[in-house]
Amino acid sequence: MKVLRLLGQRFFRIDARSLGLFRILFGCVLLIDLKERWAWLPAFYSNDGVLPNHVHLFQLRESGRVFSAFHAFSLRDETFVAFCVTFAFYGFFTLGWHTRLFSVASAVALVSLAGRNILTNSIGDSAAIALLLIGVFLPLGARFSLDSLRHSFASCDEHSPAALNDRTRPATVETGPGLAGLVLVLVVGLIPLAAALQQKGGAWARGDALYYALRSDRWLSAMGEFVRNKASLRTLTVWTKLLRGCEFAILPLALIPVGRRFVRPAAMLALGMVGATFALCFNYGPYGWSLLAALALLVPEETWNARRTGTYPIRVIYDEDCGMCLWLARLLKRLDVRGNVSFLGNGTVERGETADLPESITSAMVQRSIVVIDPKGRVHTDALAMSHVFRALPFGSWLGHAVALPGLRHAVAALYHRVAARRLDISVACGLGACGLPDKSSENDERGSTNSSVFPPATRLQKGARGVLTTVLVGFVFATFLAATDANNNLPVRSGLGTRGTLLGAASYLRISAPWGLWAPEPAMHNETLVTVATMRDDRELDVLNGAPPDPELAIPRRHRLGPLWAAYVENVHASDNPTFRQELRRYLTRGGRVSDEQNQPTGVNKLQAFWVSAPIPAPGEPASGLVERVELLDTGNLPRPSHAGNVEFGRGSLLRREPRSEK
Amino acid sequence: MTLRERCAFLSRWFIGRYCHADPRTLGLARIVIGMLLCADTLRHWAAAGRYYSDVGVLSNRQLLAHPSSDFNFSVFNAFSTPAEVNVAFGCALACQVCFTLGWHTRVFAVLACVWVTSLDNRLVLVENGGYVVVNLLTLWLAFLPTGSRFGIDAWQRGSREHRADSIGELDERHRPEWLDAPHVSLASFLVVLNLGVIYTFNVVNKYGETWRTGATIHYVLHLDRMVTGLAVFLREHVPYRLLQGATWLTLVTEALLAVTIFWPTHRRIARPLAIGLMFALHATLGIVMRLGPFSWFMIGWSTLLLQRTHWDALETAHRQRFGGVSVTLAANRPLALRLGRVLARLDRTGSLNFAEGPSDGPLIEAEWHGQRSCDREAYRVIVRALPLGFMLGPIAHFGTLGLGSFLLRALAHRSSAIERFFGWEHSETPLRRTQSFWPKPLRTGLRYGREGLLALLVFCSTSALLHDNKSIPPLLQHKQLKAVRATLGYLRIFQGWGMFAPNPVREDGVIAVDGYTIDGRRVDPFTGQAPDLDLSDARGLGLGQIEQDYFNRIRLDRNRVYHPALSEYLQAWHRRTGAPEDELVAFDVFWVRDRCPEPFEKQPREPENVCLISWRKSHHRARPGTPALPARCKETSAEKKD
Repeated sequence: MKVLRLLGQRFFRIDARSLGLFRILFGCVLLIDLKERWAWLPAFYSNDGVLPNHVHLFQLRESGRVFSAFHAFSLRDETFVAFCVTFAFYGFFTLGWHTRLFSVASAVALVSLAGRNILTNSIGDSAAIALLLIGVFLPLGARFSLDSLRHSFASCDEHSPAALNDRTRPATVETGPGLAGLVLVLVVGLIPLAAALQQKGGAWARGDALYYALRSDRWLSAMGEFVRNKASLRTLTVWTKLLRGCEFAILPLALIPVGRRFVRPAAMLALGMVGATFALCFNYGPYGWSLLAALALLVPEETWNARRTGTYPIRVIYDEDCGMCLWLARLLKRLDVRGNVSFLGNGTVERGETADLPESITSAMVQRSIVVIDPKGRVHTDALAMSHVFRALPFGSWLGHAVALPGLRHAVAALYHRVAARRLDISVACGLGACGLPDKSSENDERGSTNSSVFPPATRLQKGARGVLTTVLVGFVFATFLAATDANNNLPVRSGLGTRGTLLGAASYLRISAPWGLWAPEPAMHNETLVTVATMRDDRELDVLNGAPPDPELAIPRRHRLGPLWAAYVENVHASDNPTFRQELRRYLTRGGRVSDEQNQPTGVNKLQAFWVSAPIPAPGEPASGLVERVELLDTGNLPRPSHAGNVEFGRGSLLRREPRSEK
Repeated sequence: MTLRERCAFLSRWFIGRYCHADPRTLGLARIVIGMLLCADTLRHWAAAGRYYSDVGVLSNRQLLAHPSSDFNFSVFNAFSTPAEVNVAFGCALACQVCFTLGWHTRVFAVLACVWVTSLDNRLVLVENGGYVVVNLLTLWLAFLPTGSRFGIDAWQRGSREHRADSIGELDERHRPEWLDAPHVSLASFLVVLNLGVIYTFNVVNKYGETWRTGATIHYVLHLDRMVTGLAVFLREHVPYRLLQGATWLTLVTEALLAVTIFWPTHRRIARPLAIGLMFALHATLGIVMRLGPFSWFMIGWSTLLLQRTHWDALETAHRQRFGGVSVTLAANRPLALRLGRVLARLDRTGSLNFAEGPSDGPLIEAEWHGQRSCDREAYRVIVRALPLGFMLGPIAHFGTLGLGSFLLRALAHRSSAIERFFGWEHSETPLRRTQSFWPKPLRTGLRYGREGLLALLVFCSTSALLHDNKSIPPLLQHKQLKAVRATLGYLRIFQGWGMFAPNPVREDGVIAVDGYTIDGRRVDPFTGQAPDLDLSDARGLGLGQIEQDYFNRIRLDRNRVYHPALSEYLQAWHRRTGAPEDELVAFDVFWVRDRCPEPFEKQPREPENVCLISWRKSHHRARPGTPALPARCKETSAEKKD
């Protein structure tokens, strides 16, 4: 029984602090991903772009099984609003405000972003969606969040220094027991494992895979280009082997239940290696960054518990009569997870109970300012006091030192004095108690309710029912993940779910296309991309995708790094034999492509050609052949000058016909 | 009195008269309008396959390719297949149910507003004044604290703030301030102002000849596409002179409504009079004509006219009629205390008095007018003393499938087990009142933001009022700003009020499809019957509002762009019926119309069939034995100048 419980704890529990950290990191990944997409809002998410919503829906009418809330937004301004709403969802999720609600909303938003244009989907979208969907079922907001802060403020209403110094933590949801914790770790490990199992090509065996991958300009990041230019072939060979080894090792290391203080760091190292490679050197959307965020999930409880406490002990004397000061002291108590800060009320000094305090502390001093006694017993007030408070907080050391810098210190002190002089007024304005007159809430008990460890049958039933429901839903999402992985990857071991229509349908709706076989069986041996040559009305030649002169020789890699959306889109539109997609691309390009997006008006394109340019990557150590193959995808010939350009409101697709009308 | 003092006095008078809303009124309005919203959503859901999915008469992709107006946004456009559309309707209904129940009311009021405007924007072809009324009403309600009474939010707030810890405390009648404090806001004024504006312009815009001669109701009753069976009975049996009187009475009623709604004094009488008139007018209209949500939502809107004085009078009357019930609860029994708390919370009229009985006695006893009762009878007496208690009894009986007595007996006999199950035998943790996590200035700022947004909406609505009404003098007509058009268009909150104004339509019509199946039958896919191309013998067509408005609008020239969508829908008819022999190989879509009979006449005039769409399957060869297909008819415009 003990062994079972131990295994349950090891496999089905993730520490709430790990989950909280994961939420913050993953929220940042989502925000960065949104920023990336925002840059291409007109091109991929509005009807001015490469695929208007009605055309996309028309193309999906037979295959179906794609949902995107962004299909409801047509115009650029409408899509802008949708992006703002998405930003709010991601922001609240990151901050942990109504975390469960906004994790669901963020998942819907991410699925919708991916579903708006299926040609832009890449491995990053699938990985991020899978992680977020499973995260919905975990208590991601139990720590390091506004929710936990609110809960803590509500459950423990301190009014005295003694209450502030009481650091016994009320019982909270510390972990996320249940299937979801295990599934999340499994997903994190399975994605690289599925990639490693398919990477059987010669390039991987020889250790050339990274060499080739780093020469595919479309998917490269700026750092990737730097690495390509600076790293030796031997370095890349070692890196390649290490990368594949890490991909294999993550899952087994993450699942070893014993010696976790040592095994988990190894798993984290492997995951960090894989994540950092893809995040820093390549641009596969949120793929690499999601793996890096998932590092937080592998931080075991033991590591969190082993953190040093009391490393910078300080004593803070605050104004007991000031509601705002008390509120800030309560906040400080909650932020001080290392237990560095102890509190004293200014009444202690006024009553003369200063036996263990430095003599320099006077009644006037504690009335005027916050007073901090640092670990060496020195007394600080004003800005310096704040500096020491920051230093006592986690991640606050740099801020504390910054506040102590000359100049900034004086500015902070001036600001502090202005606020301190009006602190009672501010307290009243904010609805907090002031002038020693306790507000209504001070009638309440100071300690929160002590949660009984024995729950009544009704509560147990409720918890049990919720647990069963969560397990079923998590199981379904995981089965969907496995089905998509089965169907879209060439794996030696199969779960047998890849033929289940329902699961594949769900995977399609959730945009978990599971293309985990990155660079499998080996990376592309050609550097390929789309290059446009637009002759403008003023006879300039431009590549309307990047606004620079065309580079049909692929000589300047920087010009072909357009981000993961374009990289996936051009590959898919080149591979697809669907004429509608190319027709819409032609429409977008002839209107001026990115150049017109930035100017928010159609540019004068006179003639446009688009080529699929393919240059073979020379084998390691061999010179470039100089052969470049160009396949013409589009040739518009001379375009007619739009005679009615002045009457057309930019922002509407050519297929749109809008007539002002009152239908009543 | 200085000018400043006069202004202050006027301002106080105005705010006191028009900007106060009683929380009970808001709570009642939320329940009534929430239920109407649910019913309206269910009505549309029933037609979802044909009108809102991608296998219907106008798929989302076709609408997105040809939006119905410059500013058109609908969440429903993201849902394509019938299954997806069902999910969307499910979400909409869930939001509206939560709004009705008053759970997270503010959030769900906003969401209900989004779903309502989305539903309208998804198929603007079927929009009428009723849809605009729904949009407006849900929008104004989103700005009001409708969850402060009669809802889950109010219940939870009360539970958080006060809890009687003994039976003795139950009688203290804790009544928090927010329970009765009126809500003061611009929205309280606007929601009533808009109602008055509707009637004002409905009267002002009816300057046509038919209203003057009193023939309007006669014509309206002969619009077969709109009327119900009752209207057919009325037009056939009620003499014209009576209909003439009814027309003028309608005008007088609407004028009276405009006056009574705004009347600043004697509101204790004026407002109930307005409510009564609105109920009479709209209930009549609602049972005679199929106008969709208009009539019922106007009745719902009338609940917002109730004043504090009416509620107080109702409470007093209730207390006098049912008050004085003594409830004796068993001492030291957690279940009894909890029952008492629930009863005390429900009994806002103070009809119940609580007393402590012996701990080994019955769980609950009641005494009314000297008669002591226990068990089921006690519950009956107590429930009847609660507000609307006369309704709760039958509802409880229905809800428990007649097992009420059995359940109450079980409750009494198994009370210890129930207490153990819920963990009530332990002492309760003390109730803690906590402050809001968010600072007061933030909340104040949000309030100002709300009022600012309302001011913006007032500006847009005023512009719409001047722009959309026919009776507004040209001097006040103006070109609307793009931002104003966008606000009005996306939210669909227009202010053009003039039902059957200045004259009612006199052209009656319906879409009829003359379809030829592959096996030679003639069928109208909309009815499933043989096509009926003669309207003159119709005695009401029995069409729903969505259907009749869609037929009436799709014929218009400006909606020709949607004809291919209709054609596609008809071509796929056999896929929906699942019978291959139902495949249409040819069809002609006609606007079958006639002119309503003149007064003292019974027979419609000028029957005519206008061909809107004519389609023949290419390369089709008729099967042996089936009749040859007729030649394609010439597509023409169905619009006719009246």
